[in-house]
Amino acid sequence: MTKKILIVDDDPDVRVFNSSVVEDLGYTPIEASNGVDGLNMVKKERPDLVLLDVMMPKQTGLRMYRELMDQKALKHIPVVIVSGIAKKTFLRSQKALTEFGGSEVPEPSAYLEKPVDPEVLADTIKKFLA
Amino acid sequence: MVRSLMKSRIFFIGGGRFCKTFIHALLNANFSQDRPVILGIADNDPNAPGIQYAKELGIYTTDDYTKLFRFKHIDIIIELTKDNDLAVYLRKIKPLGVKLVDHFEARALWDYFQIEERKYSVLKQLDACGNDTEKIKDIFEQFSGFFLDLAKKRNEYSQKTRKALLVSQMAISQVIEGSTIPTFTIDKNHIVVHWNKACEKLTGYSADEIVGTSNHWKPFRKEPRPIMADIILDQVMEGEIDKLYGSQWQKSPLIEGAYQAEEFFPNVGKEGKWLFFTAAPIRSTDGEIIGAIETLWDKTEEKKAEEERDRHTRKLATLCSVYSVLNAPRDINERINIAIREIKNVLYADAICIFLKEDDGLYYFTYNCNFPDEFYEKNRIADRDGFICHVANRGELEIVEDISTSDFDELRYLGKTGLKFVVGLPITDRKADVFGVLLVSGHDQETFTEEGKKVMDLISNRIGAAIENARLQEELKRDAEFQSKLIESSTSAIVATDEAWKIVTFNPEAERLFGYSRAEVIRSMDARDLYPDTVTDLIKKGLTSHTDNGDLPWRELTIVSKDGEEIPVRVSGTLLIEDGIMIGSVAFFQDLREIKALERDLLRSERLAAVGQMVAGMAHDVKNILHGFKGGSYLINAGLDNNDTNKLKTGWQMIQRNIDRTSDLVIDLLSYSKEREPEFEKCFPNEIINDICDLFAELANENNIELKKDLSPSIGEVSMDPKTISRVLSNLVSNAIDACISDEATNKQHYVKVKSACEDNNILRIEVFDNGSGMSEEVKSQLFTSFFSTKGAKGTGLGLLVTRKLIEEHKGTLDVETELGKGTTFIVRLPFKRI
Repeated sequence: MTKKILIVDDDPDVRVFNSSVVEDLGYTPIEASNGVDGLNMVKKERPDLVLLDVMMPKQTGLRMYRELMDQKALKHIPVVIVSGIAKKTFLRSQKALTEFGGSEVPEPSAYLEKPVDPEVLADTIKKFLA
Repeated sequence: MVRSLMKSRIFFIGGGRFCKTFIHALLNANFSQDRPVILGIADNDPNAPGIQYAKELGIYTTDDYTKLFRFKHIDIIIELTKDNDLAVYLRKIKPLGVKLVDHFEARALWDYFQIEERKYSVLKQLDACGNDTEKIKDIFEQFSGFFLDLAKKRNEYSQKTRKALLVSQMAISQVIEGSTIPTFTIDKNHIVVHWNKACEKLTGYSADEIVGTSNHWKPFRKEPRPIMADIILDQVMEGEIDKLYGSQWQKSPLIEGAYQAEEFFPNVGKEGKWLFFTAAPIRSTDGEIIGAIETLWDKTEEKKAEEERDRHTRKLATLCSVYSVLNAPRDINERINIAIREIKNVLYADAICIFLKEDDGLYYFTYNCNFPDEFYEKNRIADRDGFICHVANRGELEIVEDISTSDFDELRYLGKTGLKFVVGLPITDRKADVFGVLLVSGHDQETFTEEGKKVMDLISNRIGAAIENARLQEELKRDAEFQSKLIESSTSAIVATDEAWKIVTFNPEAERLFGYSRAEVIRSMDARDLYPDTVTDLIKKGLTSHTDNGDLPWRELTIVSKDGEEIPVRVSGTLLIEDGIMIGSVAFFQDLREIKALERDLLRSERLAAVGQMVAGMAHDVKNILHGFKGGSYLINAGLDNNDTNKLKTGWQMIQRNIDRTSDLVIDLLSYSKEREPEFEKCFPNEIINDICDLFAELANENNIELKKDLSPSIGEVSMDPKTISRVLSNLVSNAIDACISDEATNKQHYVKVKSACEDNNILRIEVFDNGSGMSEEVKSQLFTSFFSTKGAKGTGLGLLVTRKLIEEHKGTLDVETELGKGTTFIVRLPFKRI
């Protein structure tokens, strides 16, 4: 069975783009358009990697990332953030959430700031799944 | 003994004062339901107080004690004559199965009786005094005083008796023989000369066996060794005595040259006996030691009682210290930890812990004293089917005397660590609801008396109350601390007063605003002198004019500071009323000086601020669009490489979509950042509204949304900027349709309604209503911040900002009313000129 990669992004264009890159690498893309659906999908499908956007309606990637890291069964899945938000901002927000009463979360496996070159995206995915 | 006494048929010999007291007490005892039957009283003196008393009660009296043999069923004969010979004689002639209590034993019996009586009343008082620590302390003090007295009297009495006896015994062997005190004497060759009846009875060795031998050690020791009388005879050095008796012996305080000691002899009697023995030298007239006399005093019963007494006193003392510890002004955790250590001591327990119920209904291991770490780790949260929850659910004390065979896994586990028993006690709150469990465990098998259980119950009650109190206190303390911090750091000036308007709270912002220091006003200034009358009136009215959601109304007023400066403020305040009486007042002031200044060049500065926000926000948006372009070109390349038209198509669509998004963003940005004076011209607003509605009719129809209009014909032709109307309205109608589309409720027929009306003959009011999802407070509060969008990738987050800017440039207002699940109304008011 080919490896599964979950793409979580509210922008359909991004989903199409990222899915194409994943397919061209020979993996199976699955998609979700917000954090809530994304988390359910992770639980159900147990993907081998997650490409996660940050700014999404319903539940942001910030939250979804925390919830993934909070669950023993899920925290080992590598998460690559693909977002227009700078990495610095993402980490600062996570720190604020931790101070607000959450638990400490590790840094994501990789961080790609949009716009992302398809080659960079492909290399990153390969790094975790090869 | 005392309990069985209460069920007995008793005959008294000797009717003195003590007899009267004893009988009275027996017949009026509180602690027992049972009453003994007093068969009769014998005394030579017909006027003896006991005899008189018996006559009053109709009890049989006689001057001849042998009459007692007329009674068929006698359980106990109590001899109170102080006649030693009589006791010895009675012992010989009494029928088998009848117990003789001689005047010696009677003393002890009387003590136990009194202790029982007092114990009963103390426990009753304790139950009655609830949480009153002072009272509890009093009761304990009285109780220990009582014991001290009792012990003192008892000591005096026995010392006196013993002394008298010893003195006479040394002279007359006859007395030794007749004494009820076990006594023996040895001569200077360590040969036993006397071994009296009492000694026979005590040791089980007859005089025939012992007298004439040196076997007097036999009843007491397994191996031959010198006993106290031998030591006295040989005048052994003190160091040597220590070797034999350890620190147990001492010199008699009463008899010169005599030693005494107390020891437990496991070989004496059936179950061993505690003996207090005194040995004294017997000297010839010229002072030479010619023998030794040793008296033995069976203190077994007493020792038991003493232990019981000790234990009791200790229990009570512990209770007392537990109470005081629990009520001490310390941190609750520390208090409870100390308390459980104390309890551990009194209950002879080796480990104690407490489980407390948290909000989630689970019992958490909260306090531990000596339970093994692994047990703690495994039971941080008590198993729902485990012992802790079992006790909590039953709400009753539960004892498992042998945990190694328990049904509960965790108890059997504890059994493996060497613990033998556990006791689980529910901890209850005022409403008798269980909120915790006290777990007590120990290595030695314990049997638990009713009393022991009672004490444990008392303790767990106490802990329950203490924890509850402490939690409330902590909560109050935290609340108070939180509030005072809140007040201190508030950016509003806060002034609170007592019922006489004297200022009691005056935070730093109040100091800054009013120009008075805290020291100048606290408890000295009347707040009504500080406030203008308008403010005082507002506060007085404050309570009655609460808005629907409980908020106080805010007013813009002017106050005068200490330097006479008039300061514009927003004020709110209220009287504090309790039970219909004013107990104080509180007022909040927000300094409007800066805000007023800001308002003067509001548009400009707000826009400047917004541009800053915009640059930051736009970065994210632009990045997303760029990512879309990248994606599009990637797909097109892939499509071209593989001759895949589908991919080519998708890629091209993606590029087109992102071109649209770019132009939307740019247009919104331009119209927001560009200053534009509205151009007034003659127009019919209703016609513009109709045009816009027609424009959106198709979109609405596609999504099964009804587009309704309710236009007031009174508006007619007016002078205003038609571009403002059309731009504003198309933004709002487009939003309204989006709100209906994104509404997840499928059971309603969605519609958007546009209503126009004329207000005060110079304002055009346009309402755009949708019955979509409505907005949460959170969404509502962010409505007019730039780049905030609930539409995901579709929205630029600028639409409403632009709308509001257009309206404000037209000197109009934009309001929003929304209810989650019901829908949203945007209300636009635009002034116009009549033609």
